[in-house]
Amino acid sequence: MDDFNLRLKKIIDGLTKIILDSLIAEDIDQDEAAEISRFILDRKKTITNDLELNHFLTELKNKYFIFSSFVDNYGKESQIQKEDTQKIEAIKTQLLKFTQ
Amino acid sequence: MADVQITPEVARGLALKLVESPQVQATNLPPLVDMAVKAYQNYQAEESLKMLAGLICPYTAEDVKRVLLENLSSQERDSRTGQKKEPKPNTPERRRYDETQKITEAMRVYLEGDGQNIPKELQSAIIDYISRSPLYRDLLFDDQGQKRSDYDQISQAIAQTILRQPQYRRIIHRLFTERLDPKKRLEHESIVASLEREIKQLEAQVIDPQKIEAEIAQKKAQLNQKNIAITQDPNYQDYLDLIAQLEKAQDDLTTFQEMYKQARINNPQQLQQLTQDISSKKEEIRNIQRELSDPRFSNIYQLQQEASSLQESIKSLEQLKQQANTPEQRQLRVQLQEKLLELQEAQAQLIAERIRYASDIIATPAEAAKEFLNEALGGAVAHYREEAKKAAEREEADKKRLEEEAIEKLGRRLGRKEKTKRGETRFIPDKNQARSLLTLLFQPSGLQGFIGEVAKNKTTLRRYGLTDEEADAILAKKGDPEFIKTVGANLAKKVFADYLLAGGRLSRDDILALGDTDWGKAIIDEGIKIAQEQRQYLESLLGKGVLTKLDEIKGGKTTGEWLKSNWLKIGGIIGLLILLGLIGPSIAGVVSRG
Repeated sequence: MDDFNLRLKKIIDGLTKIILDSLIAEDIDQDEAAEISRFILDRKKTITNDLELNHFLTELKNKYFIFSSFVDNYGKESQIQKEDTQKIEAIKTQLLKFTQ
Repeated sequence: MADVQITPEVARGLALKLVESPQVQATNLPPLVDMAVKAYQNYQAEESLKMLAGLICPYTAEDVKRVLLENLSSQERDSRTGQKKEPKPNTPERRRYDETQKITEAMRVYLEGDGQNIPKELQSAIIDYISRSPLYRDLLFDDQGQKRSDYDQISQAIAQTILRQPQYRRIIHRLFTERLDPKKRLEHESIVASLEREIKQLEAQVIDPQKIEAEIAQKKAQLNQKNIAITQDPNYQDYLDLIAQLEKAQDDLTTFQEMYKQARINNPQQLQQLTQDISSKKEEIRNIQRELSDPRFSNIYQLQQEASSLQESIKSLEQLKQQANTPEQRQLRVQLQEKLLELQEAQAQLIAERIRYASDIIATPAEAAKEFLNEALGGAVAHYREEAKKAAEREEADKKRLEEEAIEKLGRRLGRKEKTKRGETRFIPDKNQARSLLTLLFQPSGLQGFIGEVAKNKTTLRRYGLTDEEADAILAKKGDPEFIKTVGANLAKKVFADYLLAGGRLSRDDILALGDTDWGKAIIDEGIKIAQEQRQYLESLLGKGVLTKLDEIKGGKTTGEWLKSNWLKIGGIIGLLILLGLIGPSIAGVVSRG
């Protein structure tokens, strides 16, 4: 499984947990859970890259309130990761220049 | 307190705790949620989502079989598997079980698939339902109630259409999940089990005299049989002879031994002889005993042993029977009887519950179809209701428009006469016509009488140029007090204005009558308002104080004070009429006198 699919799988896990927690806490009922699950499963088939994934998460957050904090946290984590990667790349480049 | 040592194991445990996502935990969840939670906990999040979405069946064939056995079989449990055994063949219970299993498996296959795989059992269940539904009667049966020639084709098409609907699939998924929850147990199952345990405990304590009596009688009969069997043994006579010989030899031995004791004291010379006799007697006894231990007597011994055991049992039972009549025992027997009756009742209830459970499951496809059709029809009903509401609103708006047009026409024609000039027909105020209507308005019946007269009937209204429809609209409203108050007052004002415009003059009585009517008061109020506005307007043009001078001419009072103190009731109309120059000399005199 490549990085993207691993990430997608983790997100699906996280979303499933939120649905189940919300059901248990009675924030949503079974009909709503069914609708949300169908939406996620349908959309999952069409996601092939990070851009589509981000779009899907935004759509999900706007459509169903239960995912707000999850999507926000995911956004923050992604941003931090992106920044870290950039920093590492910059250091690598500098080191490379230095060694040359 | 000592610090906790962070050993490698502890560190590993902590790390695992940090890495693992917290597990979803809850108790008493609905069956579907419970299954979805389990799937998630088994790292099958997507399966969990599919279960929640109703895309897959949450139970395996084994789960379904187990729950059916638990709730439909009255048989004992298999000691190895702990699962109930299948109902006995050729019993109603077995037939129910088989039928239920068939339909549940069909539903399971249907839910496992993508909705295209339709098992024939499911299709038959739906056809059975629609053939009884009034919704499809005309499609499937003719006027005589006979199946139409294309009955099979149409009913199959309807059933397949229903079964392919996602909404139907969702309903059947929900019902299936609820009814075949592996944890489901019938209410009376545990009641029966608990009663059986109690009864077992009571039975262990209870001494039943009748039961003991029967047991004694049974044991006595068995004992009798044993005794007969002993006597009928072919070696019995030999046995008896040997026993007799043995008894005699033992008696002889006892005698010799006694004699030996006596001889030792009184007659020592006999001792040797007696010793020999004793020895030979002992030898004889041994010989007899050896003969008695011959295998040909083993059956007799066996029977004798059994007889002896039976006698012991009879003795014990007779002793037990004596204890059966204590108050404690009587109380225990009453309790036992009560529990037995309760058990009987609970067992009957359990059977009824099993039948209901089986019926509920067998009826699931039909119930889902009913719910689906009701929802679909509910949507249609809501649509038609909305349409009907819109139509009613349109009708109401049309009616209102018609009414308004009719009122406008009345306003244009009441108190006016037709005049044609250069080919153009117009309606101009007519003093006489307006006067006659005003006279009507000043009557005690006021607006009601005025409307009653104007809208007397269709012919009257037609004379004012109304169409039949417009006339009907007015006639329908003429009894409505609100209509009389608002429309009547407006028409009255128009008539009044027309009268004045046509050069009509008001007498003192007219003005008094006007002040007594609501519509007249409204005209007066409007008159005051207009007068004040006009005053402000004139002051803005001529400068302040100009009108005050005029007021002084009226006895040093302001126009307002003057009106109030003199003729508050009609002040407005007078002000209006002065401004319009419509008031006649006789009225001016009245005013100045006031």
